[in-house]
Amino acid sequence: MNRTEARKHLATYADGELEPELRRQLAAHLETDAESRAEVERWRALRRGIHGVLAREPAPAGLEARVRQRLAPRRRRIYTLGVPGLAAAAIALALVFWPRAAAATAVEAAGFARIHRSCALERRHDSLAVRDAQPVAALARLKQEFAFSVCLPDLSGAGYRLDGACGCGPSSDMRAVHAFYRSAAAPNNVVSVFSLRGKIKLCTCGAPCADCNCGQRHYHGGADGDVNVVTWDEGTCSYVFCGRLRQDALVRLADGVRLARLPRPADDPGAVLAQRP
Amino acid sequence: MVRADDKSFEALALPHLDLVYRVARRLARDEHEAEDLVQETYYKACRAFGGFQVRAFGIKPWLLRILTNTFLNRQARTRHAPRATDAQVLDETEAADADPAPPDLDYERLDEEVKHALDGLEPEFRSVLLLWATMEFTYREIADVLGVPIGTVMSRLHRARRQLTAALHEFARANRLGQVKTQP
Repeated sequence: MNRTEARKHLATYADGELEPELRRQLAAHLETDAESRAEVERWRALRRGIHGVLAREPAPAGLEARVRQRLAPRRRRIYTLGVPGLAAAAIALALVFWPRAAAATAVEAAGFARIHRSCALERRHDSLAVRDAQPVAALARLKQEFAFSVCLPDLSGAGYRLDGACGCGPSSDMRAVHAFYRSAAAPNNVVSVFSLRGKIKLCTCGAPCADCNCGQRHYHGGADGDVNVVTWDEGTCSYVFCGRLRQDALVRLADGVRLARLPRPADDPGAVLAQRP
Repeated sequence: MVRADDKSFEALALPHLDLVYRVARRLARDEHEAEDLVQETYYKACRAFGGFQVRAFGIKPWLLRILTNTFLNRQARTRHAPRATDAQVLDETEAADADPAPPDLDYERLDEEVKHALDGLEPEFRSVLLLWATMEFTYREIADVLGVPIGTVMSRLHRARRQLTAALHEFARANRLGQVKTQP
């Protein structure tokens, strides 16, 4: 084997992937050709080098906790405790979470605005893979993952289509779904809708905002820069609309939806679907 | 191999989180997108845990299979231009040429340059190269992970190495590093 022929196979030889006969011939050639031997070593060094570069890439802090959190609803469905275990777990959970559920969590308007800017405007963050899905199908998809009432309005009547959803929320203490909608007529107009497990008290600069009482629901409003936020409680959850729209425009959008139960079996606590009346 | 139902999903899969993130980080080229990919990978894997695929592949290759498929599907959706079969056949015909040898560099000091060169590769080539380098998989194992023929793996690896080597030669030439002589 000459060097020109050998060079066609050096990278594959370095990977240990040559057929036995060709490998034997190349090994014989390498005995006599130092330049080819050096090239084999450079291929191996390249592989080790890439491996080393990647091994030095640190994972972000808290990644494992966030992945565990993402897996949590699924894990609850997988484990079976039996009737006594379920009863004991229910009592324990009630004791642990009942006082917390009753109290509203203070959340800054800036928390929603930050997620709106980052996930909806900059990154079009769609980790829940609902983009362009019909609301009922998208809601069914979210229901597989989130065991609380998720608000997923159909804003098509107002010219908005569903553009993405993620599990980002303003507080790590509270499960959240963030869905966002883009206006077909003005693509820069994006509205975020948050569903939060538990009730919140919307704050701006640390102080509770005044109730605006501008609709049938008891809305609270806040702002962070050019992003306005309106929120209301319904049942055991809180819902939030936010975007670079005037607060009254957000309230009109929120007023235009009502929460309805997604058709599910009777034993399923069900998610809620917001629909335009 | 540990059977899927012998241990919980988390006990088996979470020890590989750093590795999955590292591959995702270089596939996606963006830390936020990489974390999205990792979360979606683990979510999908958890839902499918205990099925045929995890028993067939083993947990680590299976996680990487889900990761790369999720990434490539996202890419296809973004580009609205799935890779044509004809292009894959064309790849395979090119694999007969010799790869230009890489320059003789001290890679431990060149993290950013190597990352930059990797980021410049097409997603299909990058995924093969990452599995080749980080996992030390055989070509057959890479083919199984990606669900493509072994010839496609060889051709993509050939083209990935060719592009990567060209970028590293360019860097070495610009900085007068290593052996930059191109083989005949």
